[in-house]
Amino acid sequence: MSATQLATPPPSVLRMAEGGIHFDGVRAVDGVTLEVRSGEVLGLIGPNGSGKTSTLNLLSGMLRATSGSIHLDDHDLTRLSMRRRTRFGVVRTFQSGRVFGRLTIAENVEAAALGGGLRRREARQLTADILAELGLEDVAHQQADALTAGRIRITAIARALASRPRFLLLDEPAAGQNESEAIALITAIREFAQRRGCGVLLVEHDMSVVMGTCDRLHVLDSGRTVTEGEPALVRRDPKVIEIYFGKRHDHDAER
Amino acid sequence: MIMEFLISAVGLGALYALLTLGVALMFGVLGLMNFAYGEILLAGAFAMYLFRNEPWFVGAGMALVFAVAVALLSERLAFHPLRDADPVILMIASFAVSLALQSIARMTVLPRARGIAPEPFLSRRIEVLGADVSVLDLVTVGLCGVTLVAVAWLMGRTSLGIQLRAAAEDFRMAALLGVRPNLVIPAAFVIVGVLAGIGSVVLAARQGSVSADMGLQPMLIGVVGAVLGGMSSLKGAALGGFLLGAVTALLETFLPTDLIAFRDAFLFTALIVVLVVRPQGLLSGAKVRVS
Repeated sequence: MSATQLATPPPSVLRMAEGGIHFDGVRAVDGVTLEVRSGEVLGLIGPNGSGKTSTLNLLSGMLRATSGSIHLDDHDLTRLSMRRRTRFGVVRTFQSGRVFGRLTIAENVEAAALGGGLRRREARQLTADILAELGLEDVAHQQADALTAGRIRITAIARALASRPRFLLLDEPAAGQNESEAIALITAIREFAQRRGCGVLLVEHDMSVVMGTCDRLHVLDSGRTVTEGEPALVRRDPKVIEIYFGKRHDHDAER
Repeated sequence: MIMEFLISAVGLGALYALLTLGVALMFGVLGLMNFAYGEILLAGAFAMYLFRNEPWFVGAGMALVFAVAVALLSERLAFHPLRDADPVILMIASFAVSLALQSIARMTVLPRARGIAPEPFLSRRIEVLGADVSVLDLVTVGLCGVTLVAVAWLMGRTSLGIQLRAAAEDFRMAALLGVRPNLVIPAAFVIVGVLAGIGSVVLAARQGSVSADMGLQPMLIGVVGAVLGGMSSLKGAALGGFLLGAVTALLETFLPTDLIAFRDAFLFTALIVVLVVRPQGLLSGAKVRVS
Protein backbone atom coordinates (compact mmCIF):
# COMPACT_ATOMS: atom_id res chain seq x y z
CA MET A 1 0.00 0.00 0.00
CA SER A 2 1.54 3.25 -1.10
CA ALA A 3 2.06 5.67 1.71
CA THR A 4 0.44 8.69 0.13
CA GLN A 5 -2.46 6.91 -1.50
CA LEU A 6 -5.69 8.79 -0.93
CA ALA A 7 -7.66 7.34 -3.83
CA THR A 8 -10.19 4.56 -3.47
CA PRO A 9 -8.43 1.24 -2.93
CA PRO A 10 -9.57 -1.81 -4.91
CA PRO A 11 -12.63 -3.50 -3.39
CA SER A 12 -11.87 -6.11 -0.80
CA VAL A 13 -13.54 -8.32 1.77
CA LEU A 14 -12.90 -8.86 5.46
CA ARG A 15 -14.19 -12.29 6.27
CA MET A 16 -14.52 -14.35 9.40
CA ALA A 17 -15.22 -18.02 8.72
CA GLU A 18 -16.67 -20.18 11.48
CA GLY A 19 -14.93 -17.93 13.99
CA GLY A 20 -15.22 -18.86 17.62
CA ILE A 21 -13.83 -18.17 21.06
CA HIS A 22 -14.62 -19.57 24.46
CA PHE A 23 -13.88 -18.23 27.89
CA ASP A 24 -13.75 -20.85 30.66
CA GLY A 25 -15.91 -23.19 28.65
CA VAL A 26 -18.49 -20.57 27.73
CA ARG A 27 -18.70 -20.13 23.99
CA ALA A 28 -18.90 -16.36 23.60
CA VAL A 29 -18.73 -16.64 19.84
CA ASP A 30 -19.66 -19.98 18.34
CA GLY A 31 -18.95 -20.54 14.68
CA VAL A 32 -19.92 -17.19 13.25
CA THR A 33 -19.34 -16.52 9.57
CA LEU A 34 -19.59 -12.97 8.35
CA GLU A 35 -18.23 -10.67 5.69
CA VAL A 36 -17.73 -6.95 5.44
CA ARG A 37 -17.15 -5.58 1.95
CA SER A 38 -15.46 -2.33 1.14
CA GLY A 39 -17.86 0.58 0.89
CA GLU A 40 -20.66 -0.99 2.91
CA VAL A 41 -21.80 -0.62 6.49
CA LEU A 42 -22.60 -3.90 8.21
CA GLY A 43 -24.55 -3.58 11.43
CA LEU A 44 -23.76 -6.26 14.00
CA ILE A 45 -26.70 -6.40 16.36
CA GLY A 46 -28.10 -8.59 19.06
CA PRO A 47 -29.15 -8.49 22.69
CA ASN A 48 -26.68 -7.98 25.53
CA GLY A 49 -24.27 -10.87 25.85
CA SER A 50 -24.93 -12.11 22.32
CA GLY A 51 -21.25 -11.92 21.38
CA LYS A 52 -21.21 -8.68 19.36
CA THR A 53 -18.23 -7.10 21.05
CA SER A 54 -16.37 -10.41 21.22
CA THR A 55 -16.86 -10.79 17.46
CA LEU A 56 -15.46 -7.31 16.95
CA ASN A 57 -12.54 -8.20 19.22
CA LEU A 58 -11.86 -11.32 17.16
CA LEU A 59 -11.85 -9.31 13.93
CA SER A 60 -9.62 -6.56 15.33
CA GLY A 61 -7.14 -8.94 16.91
CA MET A 62 -7.85 -7.89 20.46
CA LEU A 63 -8.82 -11.53 21.02
CA ARG A 64 -7.42 -14.54 19.16
CA ALA A 65 -9.97 -16.91 17.71
CA THR A 66 -9.90 -20.39 19.22
CA SER A 67 -11.54 -21.76 16.08
CA GLY A 68 -12.18 -20.61 12.56
CA SER A 69 -10.24 -18.09 10.51
CA ILE A 70 -10.15 -14.42 9.58
CA HIS A 71 -9.06 -13.27 6.16
CA LEU A 72 -8.62 -9.94 4.46
CA ASP A 73 -8.94 -10.98 0.82
CA ASP A 74 -6.14 -13.56 0.52
CA HIS A 75 -4.27 -12.54 3.64
CA ASP A 76 -4.73 -14.75 6.65
CA LEU A 77 -5.08 -12.46 9.68
CA THR A 78 -6.13 -15.16 12.14
CA ARG A 79 -2.87 -15.23 14.10
CA LEU A 80 -1.84 -11.60 13.64
CA SER A 81 -1.69 -9.08 16.48
CA MET A 82 -3.94 -6.06 16.58
CA ARG A 83 -1.05 -3.86 15.50
CA ARG A 84 -0.23 -6.01 12.48
CA ARG A 85 -3.89 -6.04 11.47
CA THR A 86 -3.97 -2.27 11.76
CA ARG A 87 -1.19 -2.19 9.20
CA PHE A 88 -3.41 -4.20 6.88
CA GLY A 89 -5.97 -1.43 7.29
CA VAL A 90 -8.25 -3.13 9.82
CA VAL A 91 -8.76 -0.39 12.40
CA ARG A 92 -10.97 -0.35 15.45
CA THR A 93 -12.15 2.17 17.98
CA PHE A 94 -12.41 1.59 21.70
CA GLN A 95 -15.49 2.25 23.77
CA SER A 96 -13.51 4.47 26.13
CA GLY A 97 -12.11 6.40 23.16
CA ARG A 98 -8.49 6.44 24.31
CA VAL A 99 -7.93 9.86 22.79
CA PHE A 100 -4.78 11.79 23.62
CA GLY A 101 -6.18 14.10 26.27
CA ARG A 102 -3.43 16.66 26.18
CA LEU A 103 -3.56 17.09 22.41
CA THR A 104 -6.20 19.15 20.67
CA ILE A 105 -8.92 17.42 18.69
CA ALA A 106 -7.23 18.41 15.44
CA GLU A 107 -3.89 17.10 16.69
CA ASN A 108 -5.46 13.81 17.72
CA VAL A 109 -6.75 13.32 14.20
CA GLU A 110 -3.56 14.60 12.61
CA ALA A 111 -1.42 12.24 14.68
CA ALA A 112 -3.26 9.31 13.12
CA ALA A 113 -2.98 10.76 9.63
CA LEU A 114 0.77 11.23 10.14
CA GLY A 115 1.07 7.77 11.66
CA GLY A 116 -0.59 6.43 8.52
CA GLY A 117 2.27 7.85 6.51
CA LEU A 118 0.82 11.08 5.14
CA ARG A 119 2.95 14.17 4.77
CA ARG A 120 2.19 17.17 6.89
CA ARG A 121 0.16 19.06 4.31
CA GLU A 122 -1.89 16.03 3.26
CA ALA A 123 -2.43 15.14 6.89
CA ARG A 124 -3.75 18.63 7.64
CA GLN A 125 -6.09 18.51 4.66
CA LEU A 126 -7.46 15.12 5.62
CA THR A 127 -7.86 16.28 9.21
CA ALA A 128 -9.80 19.35 8.12
CA ASP A 129 -12.07 17.20 5.91
CA ILE A 130 -12.80 14.69 8.64
CA LEU A 131 -13.44 17.32 11.31
CA ALA A 132 -15.86 19.09 8.97
CA GLU A 133 -17.73 15.92 8.11
CA LEU A 134 -18.10 14.81 11.70
CA GLY A 135 -19.06 18.28 12.91
CA LEU A 136 -16.00 18.79 15.09
CA GLU A 137 -14.72 22.02 13.51
CA ASP A 138 -15.88 24.27 16.32
CA VAL A 139 -13.86 22.29 18.89
CA ALA A 140 -10.89 21.51 16.64
CA HIS A 141 -8.44 23.48 18.73
CA GLN A 142 -9.71 22.51 22.14
CA GLN A 143 -7.79 20.10 24.27
CA ALA A 144 -9.43 16.68 24.18
CA ASP A 145 -9.46 16.44 27.99
CA ALA A 146 -11.92 19.31 28.13
CA LEU A 147 -14.63 17.65 26.04
CA THR A 148 -17.75 15.67 26.87
CA ALA A 149 -17.74 11.89 26.64
CA GLY A 150 -19.79 12.00 23.44
CA ARG A 151 -17.38 14.35 21.72
CA ILE A 152 -14.44 12.25 22.86
CA ARG A 153 -16.02 9.20 21.26
CA ILE A 154 -16.54 11.08 17.99
CA THR A 155 -12.94 12.26 18.16
CA ALA A 156 -11.85 8.63 18.47
CA ILE A 157 -13.84 7.81 15.33
CA ALA A 158 -12.38 10.81 13.52
CA ARG A 159 -8.93 9.63 14.51
CA ALA A 160 -9.65 6.12 13.27
CA LEU A 161 -10.88 7.53 9.94
CA ALA A 162 -7.68 9.57 9.64
CA SER A 163 -5.60 6.41 9.56
CA ARG A 164 -7.43 5.71 6.28
CA PRO A 165 -8.67 2.25 7.19
CA ARG A 166 -9.81 -0.27 4.62
CA PHE A 167 -12.07 -1.69 7.29
CA LEU A 168 -13.29 0.21 10.28
CA LEU A 169 -14.65 -1.65 13.31
CA LEU A 170 -16.76 0.52 15.58
CA ASP A 171 -17.90 -0.57 19.01
CA GLU A 172 -21.16 1.25 19.76
CA PRO A 173 -19.94 4.55 18.32
CA ALA A 174 -23.15 6.35 19.19
CA ALA A 175 -23.46 5.16 22.77
CA GLY A 176 -24.63 7.91 25.08
CA GLN A 177 -26.16 9.97 22.30
CA ASN A 178 -29.81 10.40 21.51
CA GLU A 179 -31.33 8.68 18.50
CA SER A 180 -31.13 11.58 16.04
CA GLU A 181 -27.52 12.39 17.02
CA ALA A 182 -26.65 8.73 16.66
CA ILE A 183 -28.21 8.51 13.21
CA ALA A 184 -26.48 11.71 12.11
CA LEU A 185 -23.12 10.40 13.31
CA ILE A 186 -23.45 7.01 11.68
CA THR A 187 -24.68 8.62 8.46
CA ALA A 188 -21.59 10.82 8.41
CA ILE A 189 -19.36 7.80 9.00
CA ARG A 190 -21.17 5.94 6.25
CA GLU A 191 -20.75 8.75 3.72
CA PHE A 192 -17.10 9.09 4.58
CA ALA A 193 -16.58 5.35 4.27
CA GLN A 194 -18.44 5.07 0.96
CA ARG A 195 -16.45 7.87 -0.58
CA ARG A 196 -13.21 6.19 0.37
CA GLY A 197 -14.30 2.65 -0.28
CA CYS A 198 -13.88 1.66 3.34
CA GLY A 199 -15.94 -1.13 4.87
CA VAL A 200 -17.52 -0.53 8.25
CA LEU A 201 -18.60 -3.02 10.89
CA LEU A 202 -20.81 -1.38 13.44
CA VAL A 203 -21.71 -2.94 16.76
CA GLU A 204 -24.94 -1.45 18.01
CA HIS A 205 -27.70 -2.57 20.29
CA ASP A 206 -30.30 -0.03 19.26
CA MET A 207 -32.31 -1.46 16.36
CA SER A 208 -33.80 1.91 15.36
CA VAL A 209 -30.34 3.41 14.86
CA VAL A 210 -29.10 0.70 12.51
CA MET A 211 -32.28 0.40 10.42
CA GLY A 212 -31.75 3.45 8.23
CA THR A 213 -27.98 3.62 8.34
CA CYS A 214 -26.68 0.11 7.62
CA ASP A 215 -26.58 -1.65 4.27
CA ARG A 216 -26.86 -5.05 5.86
CA LEU A 217 -27.47 -6.42 9.31
CA HIS A 218 -25.99 -9.45 10.98
CA VAL A 219 -27.93 -10.64 14.01
CA LEU A 220 -26.28 -12.60 16.82
CA ASP A 221 -27.79 -14.38 19.77
CA SER A 222 -25.86 -16.45 22.31
CA GLY A 223 -22.77 -16.27 20.14
CA ARG A 224 -24.46 -17.68 17.04
CA THR A 225 -25.72 -16.14 13.84
CA VAL A 226 -29.49 -15.79 13.80
CA THR A 227 -29.85 -14.25 10.38
CA GLU A 228 -28.28 -11.81 8.02
CA GLY A 229 -29.46 -9.55 5.22
CA GLU A 230 -31.04 -6.26 4.34
CA PRO A 231 -32.37 -4.34 7.32
CA ALA A 232 -35.98 -4.38 6.15
CA LEU A 233 -35.94 -8.16 5.70
CA VAL A 234 -34.07 -8.81 8.90
CA ARG A 235 -36.54 -6.80 10.90
CA ARG A 236 -39.41 -8.93 9.64
CA ASP A 237 -37.65 -12.19 10.41
CA PRO A 238 -39.69 -13.97 13.10
CA LYS A 239 -36.56 -15.28 14.82
CA VAL A 240 -35.21 -11.75 15.09
CA ILE A 241 -38.48 -10.43 16.39
CA GLU A 242 -38.52 -13.15 18.98
CA ILE A 243 -35.01 -12.65 20.33
CA TYR A 244 -34.80 -8.95 19.81
CA PHE A 245 -38.18 -7.66 20.77
CA GLY A 246 -39.07 -10.40 23.16
CA LYS A 247 -41.58 -13.18 22.72
CA ARG A 248 -44.55 -10.87 22.91
CA HIS A 249 -44.01 -9.01 19.70
CA ASP A 250 -45.13 -5.45 20.17
CA HIS A 251 -46.22 -3.88 16.89
CA ASP A 252 -45.27 -0.44 18.13
CA ALA A 253 -41.65 -1.40 18.03
CA GLU A 254 -41.89 -1.91 14.33
CA ARG A 255 -43.24 1.51 13.58
CA MET B 1 20.16 45.17 41.84
CA ILE B 2 16.72 44.11 40.74
CA MET B 3 17.91 43.76 37.15
CA GLU B 4 20.87 41.64 38.19
CA PHE B 5 18.66 39.46 40.29
CA LEU B 6 16.13 39.07 37.49
CA ILE B 7 18.74 38.02 34.97
CA SER B 8 20.32 35.49 37.28
CA ALA B 9 16.87 34.18 38.33
CA VAL B 10 15.67 33.85 34.74
CA GLY B 11 18.98 32.28 33.75
CA LEU B 12 18.88 29.66 36.50
CA GLY B 13 15.18 29.11 35.84
CA ALA B 14 15.76 28.54 32.15
CA LEU B 15 18.67 26.18 32.86
CA TYR B 16 16.59 24.16 35.31
CA ALA B 17 13.66 24.12 32.89
CA LEU B 18 16.01 22.65 30.29
CA LEU B 19 17.19 19.93 32.65
CA THR B 20 13.65 19.15 33.72
CA LEU B 21 12.31 18.92 30.20
CA GLY B 22 14.83 16.21 29.39
CA VAL B 23 13.72 14.10 32.34
CA ALA B 24 10.02 14.59 31.58
CA LEU B 25 10.43 13.75 27.91
CA MET B 26 12.14 10.44 28.69
CA PHE B 27 9.50 9.66 31.24
CA GLY B 28 6.66 10.54 28.91
CA VAL B 29 7.77 8.78 25.75
CA LEU B 30 9.37 5.71 27.28
CA GLY B 31 7.89 5.56 30.74
CA LEU B 32 11.57 5.64 31.59
CA MET B 33 12.93 7.31 34.69
CA ASN B 34 16.34 7.75 33.11
CA PHE B 35 19.08 8.02 35.71
CA ALA B 36 21.66 8.09 32.95
CA TYR B 37 20.46 11.57 32.04
CA GLY B 38 23.18 13.08 34.22
CA GLU B 39 25.82 11.09 32.35
CA ILE B 40 24.51 12.27 28.99
CA LEU B 41 25.20 15.70 30.39
CA LEU B 42 28.57 14.49 31.62
CA ALA B 43 29.41 13.44 28.06
CA GLY B 44 28.88 17.05 26.98
CA ALA B 45 31.03 18.38 29.78
CA PHE B 46 33.66 15.78 28.94
CA ALA B 47 33.81 17.20 25.42
CA MET B 48 34.14 20.69 26.85
CA TYR B 49 37.18 19.45 28.75
CA LEU B 50 38.73 17.59 25.79
CA PHE B 51 38.40 20.63 23.57
CA ARG B 52 39.32 23.14 26.28
CA ASN B 53 42.18 24.52 24.21
CA GLU B 54 40.01 25.14 21.17
CA PRO B 55 37.79 28.21 20.84
CA TRP B 56 34.86 28.10 23.23
CA PHE B 57 32.20 27.56 20.57
CA VAL B 58 34.07 24.54 19.20
CA GLY B 59 33.96 22.95 22.63
CA ALA B 60 30.29 23.86 22.94
CA GLY B 61 29.53 22.34 19.55
CA MET B 62 31.42 19.16 20.42
CA ALA B 63 29.54 19.01 23.73
CA LEU B 64 26.30 18.82 21.77
CA VAL B 65 27.70 16.16 19.45
CA PHE B 66 29.00 14.06 22.37
CA ALA B 67 25.78 14.34 24.36
CA VAL B 68 23.57 13.39 21.40
CA ALA B 69 25.90 10.53 20.47
CA VAL B 70 25.89 9.11 24.00
CA ALA B 71 22.11 9.52 24.23
CA LEU B 72 21.60 7.62 20.98
CA LEU B 73 24.15 4.96 21.89
CA SER B 74 22.55 4.33 25.26
CA GLU B 75 19.19 3.97 23.51
CA ARG B 76 20.58 1.55 20.97
CA LEU B 77 22.67 -0.57 23.32
CA ALA B 78 20.71 -0.52 26.56
CA PHE B 79 17.12 0.64 26.15
CA HIS B 80 16.25 -0.66 22.70
CA PRO B 81 16.69 -4.32 23.67
CA LEU B 82 14.50 -3.69 26.73
CA ARG B 83 11.77 -1.81 24.92
CA ASP B 84 8.94 -4.03 26.06
CA ALA B 85 10.32 -4.53 29.54
CA ASP B 86 8.77 -3.39 32.77
CA PRO B 87 9.45 0.28 33.70
CA VAL B 88 11.27 -0.86 36.83
CA ILE B 89 13.67 -2.93 34.75
CA LEU B 90 14.23 0.06 32.48
CA MET B 91 14.96 2.20 35.49
CA ILE B 92 17.51 -0.29 36.81
CA ALA B 93 19.05 -0.48 33.36
CA SER B 94 19.38 3.28 33.40
CA PHE B 95 21.28 3.02 36.70
CA ALA B 96 23.62 0.58 35.02
CA VAL B 97 24.14 2.91 32.06
CA SER B 98 24.71 5.77 34.46
CA LEU B 99 27.36 3.89 36.44
CA ALA B 100 29.04 2.51 33.33
CA LEU B 101 29.37 5.95 31.76
CA GLN B 102 30.62 7.47 35.01
CA SER B 103 33.22 4.73 35.31
CA ILE B 104 34.37 5.26 31.75
CA ALA B 105 34.85 8.95 32.49
CA ARG B 106 36.75 8.14 35.72
CA MET B 107 39.00 5.57 34.05
CA THR B 108 39.96 7.84 31.17
CA VAL B 109 40.51 11.48 31.99
CA LEU B 110 38.41 12.40 34.99
CA PRO B 111 39.58 10.43 38.03
CA ARG B 112 39.09 13.71 39.88
CA ALA B 113 37.61 17.05 39.02
CA ARG B 114 39.44 19.01 36.34
CA GLY B 115 39.33 22.74 35.94
CA ILE B 116 38.40 24.36 32.68
CA ALA B 117 40.02 27.74 32.29
CA PRO B 118 37.22 30.28 32.26
CA GLU B 119 36.57 31.71 28.83
CA PRO B 120 37.65 35.35 29.15
CA PHE B 121 34.72 36.60 27.14
CA LEU B 122 32.25 34.84 29.46
CA SER B 123 33.68 36.25 32.66
CA ARG B 124 33.46 39.80 31.44
CA ARG B 125 30.80 42.01 32.93
CA ILE B 126 28.77 44.48 30.95
CA GLU B 127 26.18 47.07 31.71
CA VAL B 128 22.60 46.32 30.79
CA LEU B 129 19.96 48.93 31.58
CA GLY B 130 22.14 50.37 34.28
CA ALA B 131 22.87 47.01 35.90
CA ASP B 132 26.22 45.31 36.03
CA VAL B 133 25.67 41.84 34.56
CA SER B 134 28.08 39.03 33.76
CA VAL B 135 28.17 37.85 30.16
CA LEU B 136 27.86 34.31 31.46
CA ASP B 137 24.44 35.08 32.90
CA LEU B 138 23.34 36.59 29.61
CA VAL B 139 24.67 33.61 27.67
CA THR B 140 22.84 31.28 30.06
CA VAL B 141 19.57 33.10 29.48
CA GLY B 142 20.15 33.24 25.75
CA LEU B 143 21.23 29.62 25.19
CA CYS B 144 18.63 28.07 27.47
CA GLY B 145 15.90 30.42 26.24
CA VAL B 146 16.58 29.71 22.58
CA THR B 147 16.72 25.96 23.25
CA LEU B 148 13.42 26.02 25.14
CA VAL B 149 11.72 28.01 22.39
CA ALA B 150 13.12 25.64 19.77
CA VAL B 151 11.89 22.59 21.67
CA ALA B 152 8.49 24.21 22.21
CA TRP B 153 8.25 24.90 18.49
CA LEU B 154 9.35 21.38 17.64
CA MET B 155 6.84 19.79 19.99
CA GLY B 156 3.98 22.13 19.18
CA ARG B 157 4.24 22.83 15.49
CA THR B 158 5.92 19.97 13.70
CA SER B 159 4.63 16.58 12.66
CA LEU B 160 7.34 14.92 14.73
CA GLY B 161 6.20 16.94 17.74
CA ILE B 162 2.58 15.87 17.41
CA GLN B 163 3.62 12.24 17.17
CA LEU B 164 6.00 12.62 20.11
CA ARG B 165 3.33 14.13 22.31
CA ALA B 166 0.84 11.46 21.29
CA ALA B 167 3.40 8.78 22.12
CA ALA B 168 4.25 10.49 25.40
CA GLU B 169 0.64 10.22 26.45
CA ASP B 170 -0.39 6.74 25.30
CA PHE B 171 2.47 4.93 23.65
CA ARG B 172 0.51 1.81 22.72
CA MET B 173 -2.36 3.73 21.21
CA ALA B 174 0.05 5.89 19.22
CA ALA B 175 1.81 2.78 17.95
CA LEU B 176 -1.54 1.31 16.99
CA LEU B 177 -2.24 4.42 14.93
CA GLY B 178 0.99 3.85 13.05
CA VAL B 179 3.26 6.23 14.94
CA ARG B 180 6.58 4.40 14.59
CA PRO B 181 8.45 3.61 17.81
CA ASN B 182 11.66 3.58 15.77
CA LEU B 183 11.02 7.20 14.88
CA VAL B 184 9.78 8.70 18.12
CA ILE B 185 12.07 6.92 20.59
CA PRO B 186 15.38 7.85 18.93
CA ALA B 187 13.97 11.33 18.27
CA ALA B 188 13.22 11.70 21.97
CA PHE B 189 16.78 10.63 22.80
CA VAL B 190 18.21 13.13 20.33
CA ILE B 191 16.19 15.94 21.89
CA VAL B 192 17.29 14.82 25.33
CA GLY B 193 20.87 14.77 24.08
CA VAL B 194 20.57 18.34 22.83
CA LEU B 195 18.99 19.51 26.09
CA ALA B 196 21.70 17.82 28.15
CA GLY B 197 24.41 19.09 25.82
CA ILE B 198 23.31 22.70 26.17
CA GLY B 199 22.95 22.13 29.90
CA SER B 200 26.51 20.81 30.08
CA VAL B 201 27.92 23.82 28.22
CA VAL B 202 26.24 26.19 30.65
CA LEU B 203 27.11 24.14 33.73
CA ALA B 204 30.75 23.69 32.78
CA ALA B 205 31.08 27.42 32.28
CA ARG B 206 29.35 28.25 35.55
CA GLN B 207 31.28 25.73 37.63
CA GLY B 208 34.60 26.21 35.88
CA SER B 209 35.32 22.52 36.23
CA VAL B 210 34.13 19.10 35.16
CA SER B 211 34.09 15.86 37.14
CA ALA B 212 32.78 12.35 36.70
CA ASP B 213 29.96 12.86 39.18
CA MET B 214 28.86 16.25 37.93
CA GLY B 215 25.75 14.76 36.32
CA LEU B 216 24.13 13.77 39.58
CA GLN B 217 22.95 17.18 40.72
CA PRO B 218 21.44 18.28 37.39
CA MET B 219 19.69 14.93 37.12
CA LEU B 220 18.18 15.38 40.59
CA ILE B 221 17.17 18.93 39.71
CA GLY B 222 15.49 17.57 36.60
CA VAL B 223 13.59 14.93 38.55
CA VAL B 224 12.51 17.36 41.27
CA GLY B 225 11.44 19.97 38.73
CA ALA B 226 9.50 17.38 36.75
CA VAL B 227 7.75 16.08 39.86
CA LEU B 228 6.94 19.64 40.87
CA GLY B 229 5.45 20.53 37.50
CA GLY B 230 3.75 17.22 36.85
CA MET B 231 5.56 14.28 35.34
CA SER B 232 3.11 13.64 32.55
CA SER B 233 2.98 17.18 31.17
CA LEU B 234 5.94 18.62 29.29
CA LYS B 235 4.72 22.17 29.77
CA GLY B 236 4.22 21.55 33.45
CA ALA B 237 7.67 20.04 33.76
CA ALA B 238 9.32 23.04 32.11
CA LEU B 239 7.35 25.34 34.39
CA GLY B 240 8.33 23.29 37.45
CA GLY B 241 11.98 23.47 36.47
CA PHE B 242 11.78 27.19 35.86
CA LEU B 243 10.16 27.83 39.24
CA LEU B 244 12.71 25.67 40.98
CA GLY B 245 15.55 27.65 39.42
CA ALA B 246 13.98 31.03 40.01
CA VAL B 247 13.24 30.24 43.66
CA THR B 248 16.79 28.97 44.15
CA ALA B 249 18.13 32.27 42.78
CA LEU B 250 15.68 34.17 44.96
CA LEU B 251 16.85 32.35 48.09
CA GLU B 252 20.49 32.90 47.17
CA THR B 253 19.91 36.61 46.83
CA PHE B 254 17.62 37.37 49.70
CA LEU B 255 18.44 34.86 52.43
CA PRO B 256 20.55 36.33 55.23
CA THR B 257 24.18 35.24 54.84
CA ASP B 258 24.02 32.93 57.88
CA LEU B 259 21.16 31.01 56.34
CA ILE B 260 22.46 30.61 52.78
CA ALA B 261 24.05 27.32 53.74
CA PHE B 262 20.54 26.02 54.39
CA ARG B 263 19.21 27.16 51.01
CA ASP B 264 18.29 23.65 49.92
CA ALA B 265 16.46 23.02 53.17
CA PHE B 266 14.22 26.01 52.47
CA LEU B 267 13.82 24.99 48.85
CA PHE B 268 12.79 21.42 49.56
CA THR B 269 10.51 22.42 52.41
CA ALA B 270 8.69 24.62 49.90
CA LEU B 271 8.62 21.70 47.48
CA ILE B 272 7.10 19.39 50.10
CA VAL B 273 4.41 21.97 50.82
CA VAL B 274 3.55 22.25 47.12
CA LEU B 275 3.37 18.48 46.74
CA VAL B 276 1.16 18.10 49.80
CA VAL B 277 -1.28 20.56 48.25
CA ARG B 278 -0.97 19.27 44.69
CA PRO B 279 0.47 15.75 44.73
CA GLN B 280 -0.02 15.37 40.98
CA GLY B 281 2.22 18.36 40.28
CA LEU B 282 1.33 21.86 39.16
CA LEU B 283 0.04 21.22 35.66
CA SER B 284 -0.46 17.48 35.53
CA GLY B 285 -3.69 15.72 34.79
CA ALA B 286 -5.02 13.16 37.21
CA LYS B 287 -3.10 10.11 36.09
CA VAL B 288 0.61 9.73 36.47
CA ARG B 289 2.10 6.44 35.43
CA VAL B 290 4.52 5.48 38.12
CA SER B 291 4.89 1.79 38.60
